[in-house]
Amino acid sequence: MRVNCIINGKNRSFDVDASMRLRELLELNGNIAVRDSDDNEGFCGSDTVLVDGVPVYANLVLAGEVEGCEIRTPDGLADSRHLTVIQQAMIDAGVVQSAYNAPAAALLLTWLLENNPNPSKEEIKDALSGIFIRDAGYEHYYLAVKLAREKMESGEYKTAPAPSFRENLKIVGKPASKIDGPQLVAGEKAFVEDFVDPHSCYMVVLRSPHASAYINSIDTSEAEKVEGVVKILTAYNTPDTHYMQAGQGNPEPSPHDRRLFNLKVRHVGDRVAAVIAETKEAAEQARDLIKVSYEVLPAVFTVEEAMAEGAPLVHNGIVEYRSGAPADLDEYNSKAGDPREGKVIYQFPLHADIHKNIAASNKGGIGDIEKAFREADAVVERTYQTSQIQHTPLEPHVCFAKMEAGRLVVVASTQVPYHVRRIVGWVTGLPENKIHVIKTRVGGGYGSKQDILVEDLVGYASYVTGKPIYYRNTREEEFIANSTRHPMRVHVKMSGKKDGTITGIFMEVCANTGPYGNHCLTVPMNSCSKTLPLFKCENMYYDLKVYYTNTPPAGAYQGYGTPKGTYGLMMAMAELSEALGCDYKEMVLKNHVEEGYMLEILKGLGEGREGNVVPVGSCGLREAVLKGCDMIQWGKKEVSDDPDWKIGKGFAMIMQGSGLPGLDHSEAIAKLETDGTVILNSGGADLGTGLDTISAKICSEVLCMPLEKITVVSGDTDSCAFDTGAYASSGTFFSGNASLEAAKLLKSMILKEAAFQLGEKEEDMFLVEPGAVKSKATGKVLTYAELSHTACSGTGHGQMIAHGNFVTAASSVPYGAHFAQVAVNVRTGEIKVQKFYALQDAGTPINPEIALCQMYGAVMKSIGHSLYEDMKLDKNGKCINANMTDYGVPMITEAPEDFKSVLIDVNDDYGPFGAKSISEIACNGAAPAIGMAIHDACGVWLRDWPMTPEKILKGLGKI
Amino acid sequence: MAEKLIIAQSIEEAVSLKDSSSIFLAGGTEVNRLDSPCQAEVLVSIGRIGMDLIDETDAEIDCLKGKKKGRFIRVGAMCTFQELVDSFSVPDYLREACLFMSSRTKRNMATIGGNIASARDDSYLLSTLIACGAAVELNCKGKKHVYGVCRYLKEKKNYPDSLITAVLLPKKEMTVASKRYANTASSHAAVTVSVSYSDGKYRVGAAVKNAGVRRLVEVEDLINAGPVSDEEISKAVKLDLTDDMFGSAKYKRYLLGVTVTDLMKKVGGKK
Repeated sequence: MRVNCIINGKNRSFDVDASMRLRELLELNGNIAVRDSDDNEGFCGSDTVLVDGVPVYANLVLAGEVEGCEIRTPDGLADSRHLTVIQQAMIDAGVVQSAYNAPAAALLLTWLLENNPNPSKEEIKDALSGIFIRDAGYEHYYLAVKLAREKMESGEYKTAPAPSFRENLKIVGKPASKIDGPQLVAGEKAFVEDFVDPHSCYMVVLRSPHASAYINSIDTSEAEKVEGVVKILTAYNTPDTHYMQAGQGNPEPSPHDRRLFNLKVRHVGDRVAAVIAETKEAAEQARDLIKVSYEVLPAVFTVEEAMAEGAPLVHNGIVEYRSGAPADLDEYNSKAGDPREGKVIYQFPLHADIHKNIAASNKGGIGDIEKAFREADAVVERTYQTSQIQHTPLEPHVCFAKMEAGRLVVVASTQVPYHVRRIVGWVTGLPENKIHVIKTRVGGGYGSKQDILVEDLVGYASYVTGKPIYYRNTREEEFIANSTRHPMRVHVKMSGKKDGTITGIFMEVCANTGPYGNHCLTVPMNSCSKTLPLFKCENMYYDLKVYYTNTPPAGAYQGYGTPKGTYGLMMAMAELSEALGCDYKEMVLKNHVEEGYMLEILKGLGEGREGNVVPVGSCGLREAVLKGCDMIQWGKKEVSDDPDWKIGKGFAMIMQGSGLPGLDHSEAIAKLETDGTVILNSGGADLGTGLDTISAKICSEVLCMPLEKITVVSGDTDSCAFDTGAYASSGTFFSGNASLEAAKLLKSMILKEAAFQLGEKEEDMFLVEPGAVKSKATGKVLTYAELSHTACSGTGHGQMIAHGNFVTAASSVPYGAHFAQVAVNVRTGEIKVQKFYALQDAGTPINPEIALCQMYGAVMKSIGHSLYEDMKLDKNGKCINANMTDYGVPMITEAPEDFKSVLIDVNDDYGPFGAKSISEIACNGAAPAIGMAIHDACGVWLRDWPMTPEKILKGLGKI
Repeated sequence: MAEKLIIAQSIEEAVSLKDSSSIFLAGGTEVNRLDSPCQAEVLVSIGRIGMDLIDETDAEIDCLKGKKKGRFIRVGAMCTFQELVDSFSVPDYLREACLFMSSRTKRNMATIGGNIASARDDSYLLSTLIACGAAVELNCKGKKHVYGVCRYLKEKKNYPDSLITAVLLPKKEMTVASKRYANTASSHAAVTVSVSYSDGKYRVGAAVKNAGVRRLVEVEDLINAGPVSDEEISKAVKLDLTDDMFGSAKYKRYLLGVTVTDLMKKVGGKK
């Protein structure tokens, strides 16, 4: 049918079919900012447009229905060089981060202010009620509206978007526009889907309906007859190469326990076949024609089932070691099962035992724990259980790959471009110089894009077919075929004295890694290594085991295992304080570490090797606790007017790391261009968190030049130098420090060259703004443009190029404390988070407005994990809530009524300009703070996630 | 996946186009959503046929227990949730029920008629409409019927080609209150309960996930007879409740009991 409409003021006419969605029509029209993140669920709001002035979800409107309508799309607001006041205010408020939904949010706020120039907080909340924001939270959207209104009314902001830090610095520590903000908020090309070549092939994956089964045969004959099918990949025509998908330093502390396709499927959703076809429809049709014969096997879904005597084994093949093989390996392998089990290959021993479903284990500690328990005034012993959580990035896992000039080009939404290159190299057999990974903007990662979950297959498929291939997970596949947060059982035994001294802590952690061992050691290790060092306790012991099961896979998730370890330890500490009759706050103040305290516990807590024993460095923990207690009025009992609602308070100490000392590695190359501008090639992977802006600001600060004269190119394996990637909170500390090293070296090169060109002494040279060298001796000034032009003029020394390389053994640990006030309805079990205060020491926050939003976003995620989110499996291991509506992510409606993020001002000795990490740590506090507050409100200890109204009612004995 | 989309220009055209191969397409939030059970070869879009006025009318409605006459607020079936939220012509209780749909963007699309026709067990509106004694005006192949909502839900399958053209809300002294329980505001509801008080009697509607949506006459009989406890109300509920991902049967039953009691307090009436 023919449809005539007006799109962003222009008359348009299309032929559409009955099933075409308005979003698809707009995509055809080039309105790429109208995106899809929920497969027509009408939930996330990435597809928001205005039809005749009313916001609607374009995926829920058929194209044939818009005849005669006027449509406005986010990209119709402005281009990146001419942003609207609202778009700019969003950047300045810090909410434009991974930004997959930023254009849609800009459209909604534009619509709001056009119709209501002076909206209340409730009206802003209502306008944003249909849009899901996972990265930056919602709090600074209110600020963005305020800033925009101020600018509209008076031509300038009256409100500072964020506090500033470090008076001696010009740009570091000050709010400044995120350098990729304009591109992102305007909805311009940014994400993988925007860079797919026309006429590329499409790939779809056939997935296992069984949680555990051997594949007897796969018949693709009918599927191959479908017109347009290019290739069908299965276990029978792909390499017998065992590898793993975790993006970690090489050699990895994760077992190589999978192939591209296995002959044993190990979870519902596991790969069985991939169809590459000229169209998506042909690929889907062919997929439905593939016939697979399975031998269904019994499965295990919990650690309790996995550890049971005689439990079905998830892996029962041959075990190999790249190093450190045990002497009895041949005997061990004599018990291997069916050849279809494949292999498990360890890079080094992980203390695993696949015959007991143990993927990895570790234990250790300090002091005499049994003596501590014997001599204590009170001992509590509790078990805490966390659930399986999905990252739900708005942009699903997606990849485009093609062969170009004999090389494989992989366009990826990844946190780890260099690990992608290495692992794609393994499965294709190509050397790294034949693979070019291009990281685009990342529309939400949160750890899930630290794993190479689609690039391996898409890269291989493109390599063997020679075709350009595009693949994108459905939302359901995001749940069933991706990595998730490990469910964990954290058993804590803690002892103390009546004066509040904690004398002993024992943690037993049982983690569920699912069918494959991505991050199976490192994530659970964090539940101990990023929690026990909070305590000034001489007797601490940990024992962790990680089990294979047949659930959807687990992997990296923002915070790794720390949110779960923190939940267990802090809740147990609160329970111990109750048993001892001590005030919890006083107990915290008595037992937390302080600067200089030697962390002996770290010795056994390395990532697969011995850890560094170091003293506590910069530490804002005590200030965070004291300030937060004042803010929430700790000790004051709040009373509701409604007797059914009881109010309580809780808080938790938190810590994380800033990358992995001794393991992480970052590099950057700073080049002075011939006009005096700088291009910084950073190996770092900005996943929306502002890392590129950090690199640019560092460069700007060191080189005394404006931010706009610095361009950062990052995440491109051809043009940038190696970086381990953005995980473990390494971005600011490692990649930022590499940029700092490069900038410092470029500065010294500039001074030296200026001295040469001026014929003066190098020690008389110094940098002046805006990008020039001045002589103390003669007062002469040489601009960078003049300097560089001469150097590259044919007779000079050539272009100034500085290479920064950063590795360290130093740890810069961020600390903080999170506070919650909740109301619990003792009649219905309902829980409301009334107040949440997040106080964190991030060292020098280089981008303070972005840092605050990352705290809001991470807290919102962990409120979701604590109260709502839970992947539910049926008895056959199928996830029954694999969609956004039933899964339960928090939206603006779930945000605390009073929500504050506060940056504690502490300078760090090792971070770039004193900076530490900010984002991951913010995932750690909500669960224990809320759990304690619930107990304070109604007397019920909820020891498992999610903490639901039904569990409250059970705890109260009402059901 | 639909093969044909027809944009009806009038009620008459829409009704004449409807047959077993087609379904009506109203706001699109149900028919066009992921995994919708509402699938057909032909979609008859009713977005252009009006049916979006709010006025008053006298009507005689067919209920399960006979006919009733009265004065009604007549709400066009294509009124969106947000139009109802913004309207001064509809009772507060309907506005409150429309706000159970937390997404403003979705409220801009979803229609009152579409929500009733989809008859979901997590419906945003049906328990409220049942409690207030609302009726639906149907056009069935040109013939007009006015059925009480309960009767419509019970006999819906007998009128597969009927189009809801309007919803009738009793224009009389009445208080209505509703309560919705869901994991998050954007999740599907586990339980929605509504209680009205009018003419000295309580009326109760409920939508319970995987158990259905209906008037709880057994509860009404109990609470209209005299003071009762939460537990007695819980026990009286004859819905076939199940353990599922929305909660245990025990939990849902408990909620029904306490919520009916709470809503009775809210709507006033007998002590």
